[in-house]
Amino acid sequence: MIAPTKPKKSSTSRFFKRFNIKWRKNRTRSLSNRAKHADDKMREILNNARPYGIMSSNQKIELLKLIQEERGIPNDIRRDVWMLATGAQRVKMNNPNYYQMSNNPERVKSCNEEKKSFVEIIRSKVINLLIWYRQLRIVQLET
Amino acid sequence: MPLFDSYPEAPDPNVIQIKLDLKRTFVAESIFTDEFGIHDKMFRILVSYSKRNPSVGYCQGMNCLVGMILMVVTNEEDAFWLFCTLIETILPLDYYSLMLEVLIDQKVLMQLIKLKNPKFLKQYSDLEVELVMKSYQWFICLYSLNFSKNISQIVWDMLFLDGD
Repeated sequence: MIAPTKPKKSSTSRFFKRFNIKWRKNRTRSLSNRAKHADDKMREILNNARPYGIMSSNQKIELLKLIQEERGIPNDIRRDVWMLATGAQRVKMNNPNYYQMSNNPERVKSCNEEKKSFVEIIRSKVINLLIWYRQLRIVQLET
Repeated sequence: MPLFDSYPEAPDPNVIQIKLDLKRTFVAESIFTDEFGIHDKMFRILVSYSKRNPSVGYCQGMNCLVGMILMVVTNEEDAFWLFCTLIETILPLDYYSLMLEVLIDQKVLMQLIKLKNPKFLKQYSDLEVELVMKSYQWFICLYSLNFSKNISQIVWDMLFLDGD
């Protein structure tokens, strides 16, 4: 039976032990470079999808892989990811001026109705208050 | 004049419910105050959607979805379209109208827990607490209300990229 041999220390571990600080510095720099590279790649995918307003399934898979590597999406590109992944950007492009107040008579009408009902409520409350005050004055004068 | 005609027109029940729910949305978040105008944006988006799709109208839980969207997408028009796409394309058809899909999702979740973590289910049943009551809110708000903002955003990332 052959006795198991003691594993040799690799040159990397010896290097790590001797130049601990230098090794760590290099490591962080390479990590940040990798993150930057992933960010750039995400932006590139988004820029490719932007003219169409929607992402293809391949682009989605590619983006998912990058997210898995980086464990999340940077906050500044999350908005674009949501708009393009769902296709909301495309729906917006196909329906220009749908949500604009000046070009949406249905919405203007509903907002005006809201305002009108509010004014009417206030007016009726003021009138009630005046009537009540007048009645109070009459009672005071009579007594 | 008949008595019925003298009554003023009844206000829209959707609008009343939206107004009530606005103040309850993400109370702990600092941006959800009147000074940022986010309540006005939410009100406009929800009323517009209830008019766009009267068969769905407004349901409790939609305020959380719009709130969550507005945390990321600050432009009101973009937020409206994202909300429309979420309700009409990504979520199943009856998710908010008949709520049938929510019930199905709950059944699937219960089956998954039974398979993956039966101990957890047993603990709940020992305490005589229905997990369905708790999970209902998770599905209605799409996990936006019960988890921290960062976790909910990651869940939504996955939903949008891998959901359909």
